[in-house]
Amino acid sequence: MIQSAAATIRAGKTSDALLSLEGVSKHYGMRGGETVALASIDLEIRRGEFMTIIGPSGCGKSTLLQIAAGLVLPSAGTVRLDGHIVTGPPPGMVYLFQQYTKSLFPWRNVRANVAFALERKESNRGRRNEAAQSFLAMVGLEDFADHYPWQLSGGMQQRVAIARALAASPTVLLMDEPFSSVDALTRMELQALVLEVWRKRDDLTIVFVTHDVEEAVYLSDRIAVLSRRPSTIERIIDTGLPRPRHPIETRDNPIFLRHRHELLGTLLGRADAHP
Amino acid sequence: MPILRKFVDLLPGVAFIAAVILILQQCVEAGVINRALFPPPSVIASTLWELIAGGEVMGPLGATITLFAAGYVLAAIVGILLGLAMGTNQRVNDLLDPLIESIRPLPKAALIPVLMLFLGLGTTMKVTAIVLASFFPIVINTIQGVRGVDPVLVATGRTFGLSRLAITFKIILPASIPYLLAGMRVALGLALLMTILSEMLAGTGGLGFLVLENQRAFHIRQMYAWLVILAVVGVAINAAMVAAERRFVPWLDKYRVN
Amino acid sequence: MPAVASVTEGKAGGRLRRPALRDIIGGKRLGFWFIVALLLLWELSARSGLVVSANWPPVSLTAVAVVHGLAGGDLLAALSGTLYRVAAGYVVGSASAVILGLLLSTSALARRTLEPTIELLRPLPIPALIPPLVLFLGLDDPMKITVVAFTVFFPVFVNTLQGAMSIESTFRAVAATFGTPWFATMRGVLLPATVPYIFAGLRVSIGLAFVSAVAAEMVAGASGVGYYITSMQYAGRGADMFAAMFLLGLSGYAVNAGFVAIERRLLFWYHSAK
Repeated sequence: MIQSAAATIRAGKTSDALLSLEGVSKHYGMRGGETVALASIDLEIRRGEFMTIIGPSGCGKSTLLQIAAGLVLPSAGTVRLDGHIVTGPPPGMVYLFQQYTKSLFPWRNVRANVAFALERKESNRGRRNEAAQSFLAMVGLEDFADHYPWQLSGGMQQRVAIARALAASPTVLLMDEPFSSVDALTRMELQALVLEVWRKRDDLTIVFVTHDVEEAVYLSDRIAVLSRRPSTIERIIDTGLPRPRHPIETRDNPIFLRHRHELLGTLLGRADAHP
Repeated sequence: MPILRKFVDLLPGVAFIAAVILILQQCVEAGVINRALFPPPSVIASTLWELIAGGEVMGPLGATITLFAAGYVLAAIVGILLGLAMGTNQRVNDLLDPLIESIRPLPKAALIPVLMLFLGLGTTMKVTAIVLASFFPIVINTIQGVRGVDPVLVATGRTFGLSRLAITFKIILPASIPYLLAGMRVALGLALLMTILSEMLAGTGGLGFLVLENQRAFHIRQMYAWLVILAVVGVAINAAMVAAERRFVPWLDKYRVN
Repeated sequence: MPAVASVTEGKAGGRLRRPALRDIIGGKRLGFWFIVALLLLWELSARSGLVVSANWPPVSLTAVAVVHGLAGGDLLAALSGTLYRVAAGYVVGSASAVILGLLLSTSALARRTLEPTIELLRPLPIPALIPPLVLFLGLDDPMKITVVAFTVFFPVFVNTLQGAMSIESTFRAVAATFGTPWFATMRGVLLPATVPYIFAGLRVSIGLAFVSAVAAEMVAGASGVGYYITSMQYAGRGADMFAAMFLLGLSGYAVNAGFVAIERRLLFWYHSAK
């Protein structure tokens, strides 16, 4: 496949690199027992694309994403966002934590949690709350604004976290296994929600980390496969699946099935799975 | 229905208190308890009513509550700010921790005579005594709370672009509230204790002074009447703390620390 | 996956060792030198005549007074008297609190009957209790020990009851299953399971016991370190006053350290199971 189908569908988008990792590595521990989490990673994420990073558990996917977010400094290599070197969390890039129960503020109700993302831009409390309300509507939680996060189910809490991330109007959204601890049906709903949000905002780039092969294929334009530790990028797959994706039909699409087959083979380390 | 239920729940407790008062009354009247040392509850009640009706209560009551509130609020402000600084900054902690740990074991009541030497018998001395006693549990619990803040919360602040200062006050401070309040509950009792004790030792007014002074002058009825007022103040301040927690920290029930 | 732990790590630097100044005043030593500096300031301010007062003796004279005090005489007698009253009140108060707490945990009716009274008495500031107790018990040990016992009672009681309530149903089940007699179950199951809670209350009570003993001695006089400190204040013997405070603080520290050591030994199973 020469050109990504997604890129043609998201017309008007250039395919230049927005976020790039150059020779990024990460070592843990000092003196003696040093573990190499990430060997040397080169990765370019294009403006407006939906990129997924997949790999076996413990391969350092989350660390890689945190480095991209500027939350963790790499031991070597550089991260660039729009050409500027990232040394700390840059504006325009928001990280969505896997542990949403811990990343929402228990002392703020749902509306105030979302409004938090607007506090630096909007000083008027009323306007902030109004805006928060509209982001809550986007994730279907407009009726729960006055609840506290701990009064909501796991799936709803993750919706709040997504609304809060969107409220910051990021150009890049980094999502770390965001649906790993919700039930299967909720997970499908949330996947649809994320695709919907991404489709509506043309300039939004999403980098998504998961260990779930189906999720990766279903959501992404491209998939970067990480190897076991010390991790490197093993391969990058252009899914070429048509959009909009459909929760049932897309999963029956021969292209979907072929990618799933291949990726599972790669992750399980079975050579016979490759076509 | 819930009101009726609440009433039934309270009934045994109220009946017990009423019984104790009645028995005391009988014992005093029968001479089992020395009337000179413990007047009948009815006499204490009427003395109390005289004090209230005569308007004598308001002055000392206001003085004591104001003194307590000033000391407690000041201790909370100093304690929380210092706790935040020590919890988030290792250098500040290294500097102050040994000093705090070496003063902490001193029973703070022993500070009052020294403070009287340097600050006299007035409000400054009393407020200082209250602050010095109640500040320690607040600092120590705040530090513990700050250190226990989930790293994910702090990282959330960072990914949304907050500065260090903003993270400290918008995230670390509220996230430490369950611990901080545990310290403030301990400090509440200590602050009240120091309020009354400093009033007694300084001998210049307030509820504590009146209880002690009436005992020394052998105005026993008045002593018990003022003691009842003091007990009510204690109960009211505790109730106010509970109400304030409910009102301002509604999420505490999920995250309470004792 | 060290996903989130890594978020908190600091900058990678600091690997090169820079000795000299940093090792001498770095880390906790910084705070130690800070205390030394404060003491020096105290000494200098008193010696240089910056502060001229009988109440502000140099630290060195206070240290001499400490040594003299430990050698015997009034201060040592006062201190040992205080420690005796703290210990006696502590034992009486905590023992009655544990017994009442365990008993109340087994009966909802008893709780409803007694709890309002306890909740009314609990917020009463301890010093307020001293004047009426003086009427009945005089100025000496019985009054002071009662004050300490009363102070210690509440935190231990509240913690015991809370702990016992949290395991009360297990307690009943065990008693029912094995047909163990009531008292044996109480002693064999309920009490040990409640011990960690009781200790939490006991730990808080140590400080309170000292405070209330000293408060009683200062208000009622007659004996003890509290009385010694106030009389040295009146007599203008600053060095002896500060020496008494120092030794009182030291005793508080020692008792606390001893308690923590005992708790560690007795409760190792609790802390390792957590």
